[in-house]
Amino acid sequence: MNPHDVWSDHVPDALSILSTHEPDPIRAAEIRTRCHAALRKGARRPSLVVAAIPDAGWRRALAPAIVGSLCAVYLFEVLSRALRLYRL
Amino acid sequence: MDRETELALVARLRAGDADAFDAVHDAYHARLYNFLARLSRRRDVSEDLLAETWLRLVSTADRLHTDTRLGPWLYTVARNLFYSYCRSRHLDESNAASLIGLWPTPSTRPSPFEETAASELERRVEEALARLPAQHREVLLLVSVEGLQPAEAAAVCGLRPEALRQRLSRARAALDRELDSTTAQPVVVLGEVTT
Repeated sequence: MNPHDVWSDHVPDALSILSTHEPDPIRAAEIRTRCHAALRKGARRPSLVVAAIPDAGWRRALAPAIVGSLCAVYLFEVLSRALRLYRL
Repeated sequence: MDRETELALVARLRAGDADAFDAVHDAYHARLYNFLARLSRRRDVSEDLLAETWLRLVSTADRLHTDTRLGPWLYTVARNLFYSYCRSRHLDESNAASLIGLWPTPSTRPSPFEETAASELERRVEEALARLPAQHREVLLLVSVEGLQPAEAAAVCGLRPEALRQRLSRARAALDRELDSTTAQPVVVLGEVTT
């Protein structure tokens, strides 16, 4: 038994007498309404996600293509300047 | 709430079912409020954190695991929100004892004498609880008041079960000492009060 294993028998009893207090019912109703609205919004989300999948795939391909093209142009320009500099 | 019902509610929550949300709300709203209120000792703060807890649930409802245990999930979110709140306000939660007295009075009591005794004892327990560090208070609240299993409470607090067991033992001892230190008169045990 380690030194922290102190069990106080009356502690759980003491805690069991604590009253349950009710939260503000008006605030609770407001929260419930907001959560219902958020759930409705969330329930519509899957169809939006499905609709966006082809679009997202196209964007995924477009971004690397643009970056790759710019890199190729830059590399071509660097090489052509280097060749001109050395008069090759 | 039995496990089968809980799993069904999780499935319905994932589908965005408002009735399932209402069932979970009915089961946990007051419990979470009491947990947060005793943790923060502020009614306004606990109401705000409670609202945020429910909004977190609905915003992540479609991503809940199918086997989520709703109670521990909600207590984890509520607890993390409380600590985030303390960090954001640079609050020293140990000053909580000074906020005693914010509680409304309980509504149902059998007799004036019992009412006085119960009220006095309860006040002492609330004060003793409030003087504990938040880490001790939270484990006592989760296990001894909210009735979570030690393994569930360990998950809520981000502890290993063994670490939670030790913290719980220390917390009980600390509460015991606090109760003893406030004993100006012999403690009236509720069961002994007669009229």
